[in-house]
Amino acid sequence: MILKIDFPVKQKEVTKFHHQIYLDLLRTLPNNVKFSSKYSQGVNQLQEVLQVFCLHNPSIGYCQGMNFIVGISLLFLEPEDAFWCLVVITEKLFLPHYFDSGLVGAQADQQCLKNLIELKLPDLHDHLESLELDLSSITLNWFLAIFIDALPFETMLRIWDCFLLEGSKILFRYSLALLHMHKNTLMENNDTISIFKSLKYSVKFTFDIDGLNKIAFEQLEPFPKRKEIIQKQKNYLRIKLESWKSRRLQKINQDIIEWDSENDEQNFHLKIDCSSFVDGNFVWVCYGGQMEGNVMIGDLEMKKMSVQNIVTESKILSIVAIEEFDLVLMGLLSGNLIGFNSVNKEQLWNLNLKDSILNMLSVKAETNFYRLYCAHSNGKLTYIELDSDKEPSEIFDINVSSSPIEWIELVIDDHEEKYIWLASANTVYVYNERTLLNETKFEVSVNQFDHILMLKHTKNGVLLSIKGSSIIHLYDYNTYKCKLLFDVKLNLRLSIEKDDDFSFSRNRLTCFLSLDNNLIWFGTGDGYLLIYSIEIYEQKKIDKLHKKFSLNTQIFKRIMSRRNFSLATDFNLDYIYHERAKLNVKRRDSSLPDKFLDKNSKKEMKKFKSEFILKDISKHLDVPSENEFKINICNNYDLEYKMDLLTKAKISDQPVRTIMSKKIGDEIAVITCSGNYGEDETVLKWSQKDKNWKNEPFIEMCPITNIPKRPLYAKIEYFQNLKNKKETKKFF
Amino acid sequence: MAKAYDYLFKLLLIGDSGVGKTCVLFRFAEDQYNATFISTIGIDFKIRTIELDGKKIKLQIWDTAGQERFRTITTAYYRGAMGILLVYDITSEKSFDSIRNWIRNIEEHASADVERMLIGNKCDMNDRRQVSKERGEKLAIEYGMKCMETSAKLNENIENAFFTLARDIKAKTEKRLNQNRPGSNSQNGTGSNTKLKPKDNGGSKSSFFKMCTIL
Ligand SMILES: Nc1nc2c(ncn2[C@@H]2O[C@H](COP(=O)(O)OP(=O)(O)O)[C@@H](O)[C@H]2O)c(=O)[nH]1
Ligand SMILES: [Mg+2]
Repeated sequence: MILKIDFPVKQKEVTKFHHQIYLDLLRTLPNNVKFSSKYSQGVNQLQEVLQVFCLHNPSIGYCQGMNFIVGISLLFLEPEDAFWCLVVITEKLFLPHYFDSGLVGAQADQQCLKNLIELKLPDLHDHLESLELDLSSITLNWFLAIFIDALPFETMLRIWDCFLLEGSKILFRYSLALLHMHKNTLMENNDTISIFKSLKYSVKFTFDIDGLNKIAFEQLEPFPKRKEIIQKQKNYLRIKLESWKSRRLQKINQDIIEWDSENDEQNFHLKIDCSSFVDGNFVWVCYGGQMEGNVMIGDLEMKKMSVQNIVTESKILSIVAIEEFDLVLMGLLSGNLIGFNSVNKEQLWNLNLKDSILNMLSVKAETNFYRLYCAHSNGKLTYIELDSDKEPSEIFDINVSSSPIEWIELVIDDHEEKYIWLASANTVYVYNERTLLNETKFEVSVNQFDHILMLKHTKNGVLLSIKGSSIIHLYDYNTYKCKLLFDVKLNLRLSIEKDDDFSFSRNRLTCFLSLDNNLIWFGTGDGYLLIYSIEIYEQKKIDKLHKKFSLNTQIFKRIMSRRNFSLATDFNLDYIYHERAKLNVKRRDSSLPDKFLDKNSKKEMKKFKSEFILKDISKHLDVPSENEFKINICNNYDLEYKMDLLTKAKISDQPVRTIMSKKIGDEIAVITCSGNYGEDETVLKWSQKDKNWKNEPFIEMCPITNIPKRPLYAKIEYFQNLKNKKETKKFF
Repeated sequence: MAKAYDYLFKLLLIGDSGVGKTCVLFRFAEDQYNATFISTIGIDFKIRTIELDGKKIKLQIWDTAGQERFRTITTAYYRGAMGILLVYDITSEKSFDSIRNWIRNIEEHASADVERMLIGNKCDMNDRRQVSKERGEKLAIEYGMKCMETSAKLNENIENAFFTLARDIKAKTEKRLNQNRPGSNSQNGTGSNTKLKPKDNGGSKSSFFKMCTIL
């Protein structure tokens, strides 16, 4: 039975590789008539098979080289069988991890080959060693693309036959045979270039299939047994895998060190970590080092702030206020949870929860009753009941994950049911807020080393982003599907997730906030504040794949601050990519077609050969243009989200740390904190005047003398006023 | 046996997949353009010997795969490179945006004073341009490198790019050589016979000069 499956390639697994697949379609068998133009049947089939494979095995996805394997298969097989052929090659014949994101398996096989050369062709091995020459520059391709483009076509097909029959062991045998065959040429040369060059050329002209087979199956005997080779392969794989993993972890750590402390260990103890509104009229902003946490309190109306006499035993990582009890709660790096009275700023109690408290959430259950959740770096969630400002006695631990929980967000669904979403590594865990039962969990990226930065509930869905990235994701809180990917750095809607690019960017998002009126505020690592509007509209059906259209003319509203910040002007990339494609895939139930394992299907080979020769004549008939590709699109999404940039302003040289908002009367006040304590204008209050957002910096006062300390202009102004007053006094 | 060249420079082409690295290289090494190359997987190379100020310079140019997952393999070649061409496609904003990431890769894996050059390829497709020439220049200035817009298709600026890069490397090499030999040609025969040959796969990340052995 043939199943016909229609599905949108909107799926993340496919869209992620869509672009790379597309780039390689015409670069696979350009000289074959079935693959020469973007309208060719073979090219369409190639695309289908590669995309379906991404769905079938998202952990591998698409790796360059597979295009050649599928291309060759499609010369002999129907697309469906070519798909299964690729499955068998990648999952059965090659080592695991062969094509995945570290190409670890492929690299391990190169080590294995080197070892076999040493064993079977010691003189060649010594010669290469003396030149410090690594043959894998050439031989890697032999393995990754199974000799495509390296050998004459006929010779390559013969190796394919054996490969499909016997597995990857045969590639070692033929590689050694080829090296053996051309050994003299290689030994004659004494520098890297000539060796590479002569190897490439002589292999390319290996028409003597029988001679090659003779070497491979007779002269090289005794060749290591299959078992021995597999053992070797596995050993090298294990070593490679370990070093790859540790390298990758190391790199991530480096990134984090580099960006999280901004190369600035000196200022680590001054970094602003968290902030909260307290009692409607105040903001508490926390900074501090490993062994000390400090608090600054700002008055929202006066726009003045000063450092308090509050010192905690370690860095304050999270802060929550419960106004009903005049209570401020602080979660520390040391794992202590401290309660403060918000009026007299006295410490009420200090509770040790054993592990660092990375984030907190308080939920009002009923009058005089709150539930507090603390997220810990050991992957535990603590649940605490609070009915007064007294030290809590009801404390429960829930094991959530083996990675730190970095964010807790309250999410209320369409039926007013409350959930808490917990972010840990690249996974979101959803718990029912009432029952504390785990509803579900889902990963937001393919890379398990990713960390979610934070989550924000909005009425359109839940916003989240990954640490180090500038891409915002919008998740549906009913279906847990990603509805929108938007790159804030590029001001560009994405339909493709970047292919495992995990480097930190300076323009990464560091915090964000959603306001009621469909505004989203973003803070970035390089100190920019961006305000976007998000809009929902009904999507009309489109039937072109790469449909680009420019956004409505951008309206830039300049905001004035006392400080001369620069307004960015590089917004000339305002186009939106829309990609929708329809795939028709035939699939049958059998797991393995017997056809391609049958090496006697010579008839089909004949048929193909005539086609291959035919092509050379028609080669120049159709010169494809590079970027456009037409594919049918199926559109089953009705709602679309559109994000428009309203404002972009540089507010600091350091990362923006927190953004929060509060309704005061009819007005919304937004507070941003950026950089480190001790810099000018770290805390800004934003309010809306005639649709424009205006900011006013908080002036830091000396807590003892009550004279302005920072910024300098406030201090100067103060003394100027003082002088004027004195002068006027004198005058009278 | 007399060498067929005075200097050997190793160059490297990097940039996103599809920006035209292979076409640029093919144009330079073979003076041909073919819109239908197969995709480069892993690493590939071409050679061309040029003449500069009477010196024969052999350029060994490595072409790399652009896909992210090949980076572990391709970065191994950064270390030996004396010049790197960073290629983007002027019709692709994304490829231009990636240049910063590629630079970061260079900083991480290549010799500290490797010569770099920014190449905006496909400048024949002005109607589809997404990256203005000025932005390319601005970025190049920011990182202290030269930049050029090229077209492999129309053979625009291709020779110029490689020759400029080779000239800069040559000047740098000769300067180092002279610095390293006070009194110049007094000790080691005549100065004009001095030849540099980069050592295969050897060298260190930190020093440009360590990559060269003096013959
Ligand atoms: N119009 C135009 N197209 C080019 C130029 N250079 C490359 N291309 C096209 O870009 C595609 C990708 O080039 P390729 O060299 O394979 O890219 P690579 O992945 O960077 O090696 C090719 O199919 C060419 O058709 C150029 O200078 N002008
Ligand atoms: Mg290429």
